[in-house]
Order: sequence, then C-alpha cells, then structure tokens
Amino acid sequence: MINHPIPIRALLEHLDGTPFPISSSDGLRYALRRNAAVQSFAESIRSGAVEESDIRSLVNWILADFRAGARLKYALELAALAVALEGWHTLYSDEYINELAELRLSELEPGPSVARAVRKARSGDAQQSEKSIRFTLLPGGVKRSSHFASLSDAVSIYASA
Amino acid sequence: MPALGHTQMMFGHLPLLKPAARSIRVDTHTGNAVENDIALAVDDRGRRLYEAVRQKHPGWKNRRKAAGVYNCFGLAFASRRTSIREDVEVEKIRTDDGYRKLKMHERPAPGDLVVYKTPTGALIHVALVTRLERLIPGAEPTATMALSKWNDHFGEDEHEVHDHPFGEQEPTFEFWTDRPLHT
Repeated sequence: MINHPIPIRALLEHLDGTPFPISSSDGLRYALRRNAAVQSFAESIRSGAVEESDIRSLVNWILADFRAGARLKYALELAALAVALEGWHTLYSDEYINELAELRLSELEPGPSVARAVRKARSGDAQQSEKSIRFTLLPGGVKRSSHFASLSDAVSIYASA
Repeated sequence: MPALGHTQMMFGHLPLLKPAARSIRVDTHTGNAVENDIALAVDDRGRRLYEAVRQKHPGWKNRRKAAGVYNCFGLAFASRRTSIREDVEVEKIRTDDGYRKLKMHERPAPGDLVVYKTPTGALIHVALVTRLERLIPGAEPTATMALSKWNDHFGEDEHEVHDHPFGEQEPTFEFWTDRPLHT
C-alpha cells in the first residue's frame, strides 16, 4: 500500500475500518456515494491528483491477491472505485465500469454488482441529460420534446432553426 | 486526467484464473429466473467489521456468527442458499410472488418482511419479522422483532426493527406481506 498516492492510501485505510452492512447493490452504491472518503477520492480524480495510471496500478495491486474460491481482500474497494468513477466519463472509466459490471465472479463481490448499479445510473443520467438538452437547445421557447427521436435530431433541428 | 489511449483490459485475465462463480436455480412463483450467486466464505476482515457493528447494538440477539453463502435477500427469498444482490431481482420476486405493502392500519405478523430503503427508494435491506413484543404486559404490542442477515458476510441477528445499522443512510422502512388483505 505504501507506494500508492496519498488519496488512494486514505481511501484504502478508511474503507478497511468501515462496515457496510448492506446487501443490495443499489443500496451499497448509495452508501458509497455518501461516504466522505469516496467523495474525497472522486474529487482527487477530478482534480488530477489521482491519474489513470494510478487507478490501473491500484487495480493491478488489488487483483494480485486474487485466489479462485476466496473472497478478494479488497473487493469492496473495487466497488468504491466504480462509484468514484461514476461521474467521470472517459475511455478508461467506461472501461473500468463496463468490464467490472460484466464479470460474474463471487470472488470480486460486491464489485461487479455495484458496477452494474453504477452503469445503470450512468445510463439513466445520460437519458436525463439528453432530455434536458432537448429542452434547453430549443429556440423560441418550444416546450415539447416528443418531436425528437434522439439528441442528434434535436441538434439538427436547432441548427436549421 | 488524460486517457492513456490504450485498451489494456483491466479484468481480462481473470477468467484464466478459474474463478468460483456458483449460483443455484431460483425462480419466482410465475417461473421467472432470479439471478443469484453463492457468496464465498467470510474472511478476517468481514468477521472484524461484523463484530465492530455488533458492539454498537447490544440489544441484538445473535443467531449465527459471521458467514458467507447468503445475504438478507437470500435469507428471505431463497432459504439461506444463495445471495441475491440486485434491486431488479427483488422487484421481480415482489411482483411475481404477490407481496404487498402493509397498509397503515395493518399490524405486521411473524413471517412478514420489513424492507429498508434509502430516501431515493433504493433497497438497503430486508428482514424477516419474527414476533411482536409487548413491552408492557397486557398492552398492545409495541416492538416488532425481526431476523436479519446483514450482508453476504455478516451474521444473523434478531433485533427490534428500529435498531438497525443503517443510520447514516437515513432509511425509511415498510412492511411487505404475502397474506391476503383483510385476513
């Protein structure tokens, strides 16, 4: 753990002593989102204090403990990482969340199931922001969004208005 | 944070390590399959955290030490055989198996479920109502006791429904039953 950047060490140390007695992946996502250490770590990602290479190193370090048939020591941290990356839309955050969500490995739980909850929430956010753009892009105070089948429809109509 | 621009898979090598994903067949009453996985044995970290939580709840009566295999949904819906993790699976069970939310005037009964939710409506936990306790002899029952398996690596405890470890999540709770209305 000693070679990790400070924000990663802080996250690991905090989670190691914090119980999450929650069975549901949506409920656990909710709890992790409200956790101060996870919020601080997400801010470290946004500010650049933690970089993609740090995340990849962390994942490699966590997975180095993988043993078939045994609970991964830092499986909760995989879930926390997915939650911290939820609002960060990059190729590698997509890769992390999608790859973890696709796994059906008991060793990694609750990582994969929380990643699926994160992926579902991101999908909902994307649909919500698309709806929002449909409204905000429209000239002339047009309120109905049902004219547009997609974001690109809305943009093209706006451009031609 | 700039992307590195390569596509090295973070988890791609794991299937080569012969992981131990195991599930059993769980169907709803109407035959819809319920996704599940059998949780692995509890480790030292799980035992330590469970004991830390238990120390904050002296009123809990322990039924089972920290253990793997099942979580709260597995206790309530799959006879302690496996873990069910996703809200959508629980919703499938609730609908197909005919659970309904108790009305305000209805009293819970042993065998009903107490369901804890976040303020946003996500499930946190489900517990099995075990008994109604009279704190004053002869008076109406004032405490509802329930049995919980807190997650897939904690133990089982009987507790009063308000005596739960979810304080930070500011949960609400409601009762579900499979009993018909007006019985």
